[in-house]
Amino acid sequence: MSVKNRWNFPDLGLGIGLRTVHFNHVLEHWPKVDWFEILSENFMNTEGNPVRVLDQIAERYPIVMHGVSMSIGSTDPIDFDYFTRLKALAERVNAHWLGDHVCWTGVHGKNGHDLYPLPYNEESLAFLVDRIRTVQDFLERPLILENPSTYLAFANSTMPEEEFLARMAEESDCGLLLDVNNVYVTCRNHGLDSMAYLDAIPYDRVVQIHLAGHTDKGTHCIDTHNGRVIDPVWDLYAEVQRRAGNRATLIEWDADIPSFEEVHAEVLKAAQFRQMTELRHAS
Amino acid sequence: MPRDDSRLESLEQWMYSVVSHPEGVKAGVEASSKPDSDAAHDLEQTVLPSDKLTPLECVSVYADMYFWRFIEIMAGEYPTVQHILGEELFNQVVRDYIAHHPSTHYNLNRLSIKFPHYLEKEVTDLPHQPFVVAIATVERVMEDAFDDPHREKISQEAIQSIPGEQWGDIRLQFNPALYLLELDYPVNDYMTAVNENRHMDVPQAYKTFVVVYRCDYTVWREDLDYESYLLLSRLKDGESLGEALESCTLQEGVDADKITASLGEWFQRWTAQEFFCGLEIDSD
Repeated sequence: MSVKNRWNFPDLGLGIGLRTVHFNHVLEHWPKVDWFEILSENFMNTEGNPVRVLDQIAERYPIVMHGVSMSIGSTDPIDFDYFTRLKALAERVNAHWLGDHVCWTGVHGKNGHDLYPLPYNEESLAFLVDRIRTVQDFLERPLILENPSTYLAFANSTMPEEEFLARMAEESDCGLLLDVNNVYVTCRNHGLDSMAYLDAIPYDRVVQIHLAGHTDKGTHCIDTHNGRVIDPVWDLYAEVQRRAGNRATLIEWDADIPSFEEVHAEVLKAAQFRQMTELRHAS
Repeated sequence: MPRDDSRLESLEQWMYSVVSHPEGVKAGVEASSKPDSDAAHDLEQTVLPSDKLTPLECVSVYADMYFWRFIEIMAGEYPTVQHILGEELFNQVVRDYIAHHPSTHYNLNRLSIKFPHYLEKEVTDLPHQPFVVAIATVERVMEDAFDDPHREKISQEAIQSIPGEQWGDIRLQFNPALYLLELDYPVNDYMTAVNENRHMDVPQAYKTFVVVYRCDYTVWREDLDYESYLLLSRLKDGESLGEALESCTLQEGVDADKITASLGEWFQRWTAQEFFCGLEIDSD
């Protein structure tokens, strides 16, 4: 495994998001998958079947934790009950790393369970950096934060998203999970240049890559995770691999989920790009 | 100097109030543009248009997902309630519930904790309301049982090794994922019929007793007869087996002979079903 990020997190290869509908398949077949990513909250606040399954899977596969409720950008007080449980789960499954999204999910104690965007300006950057540092100190590990798909832009933003992410990562010393599909969706929705977006990313901080399908509504795209990765996203992935070298890569498929084999086949398409990267580096 | 996050907080509060407004995003925008609102913002000055969408359409993407997400979650948790009410009414009831009881926890499995109580106490003019409340109660409890703490069951051998003269002195600890429900309708039969795609009219009211429990990490529900429900309830309340048997047989309508005849078989079955996770024997 190559190590090309500043924390020496390994390139785990090609992974799959562990979903409930595939529990039985995994336990019966123990498929040849490099690693699994779990949705952290699905295994918190429960002592039922999900954790029984996860315990068995964590004994055999590398696990990465990725959440949707950290709400790192919310101005509410930090919920240390959440982070205590998150930390305990990370220790339980020996997670290689854990992360969430650059977003907020609720405010004033109410939770919309969506990934709401932040304004990209100095004020929210300072707030976010401070908050990430506090959480990282508590968790005793870096956060690996993902660029979200966004459907609106705030008028009080003063810098592009990619610059905001780069500065956030540098100033808080956190890692990045680069969701290539989200880059595509966000750039389509806001009329941005995806290559310029990729130009600004500090690749020594990119620990993981996400790929996914989305829904193209014509006027805008929505990050629905409900199908195959489209060719323009694969092209972006190839570009990211060229710039970053191989990184742990995962397919997210959360709606209309097909068989495990079909999801696995989709992520294995990434292998050709990874081989090209290895050949390029070898030559 | 401490950092001032009030503008960011105000922006977040504004966006949340708009996307979660029960009467839709337009109403949310109008309500939140009034100077006396908690986080007044003008939409056009707050959100930029995209090439193809107006600011209102951009915010609507989030607003459209707000209720849809919760409806999808609760339809999964309350399939029988949805079946009785029909999709349209169920969706409206859930929207109203969320408007009154928005999610306040990071985990969505807490979202509908108040739903049965809401249906009983805060909703009016709901068709078959008492029956729907009874169904919702069982479906919520099944959700709880799915996530409840795990405790190792006690074995048949542990039960069988108790000397006969000490049986009256045992106190049983119950699996945390076990609920005893006294209901005014035959809820279990109806839920099974819906689950099996069999038609069943909304039944007449009569008393039934149901146990919901988790065994081998799967949640089950099962009808109980009155005697076994009563005995289990007393044991779960902490009475010794001797005390529970005595108080049960004094209860009006109880068939004491049935309890005596069935006790061994009941305990064998309940132990196999992981009802118990520990026992103590009174020393005196």
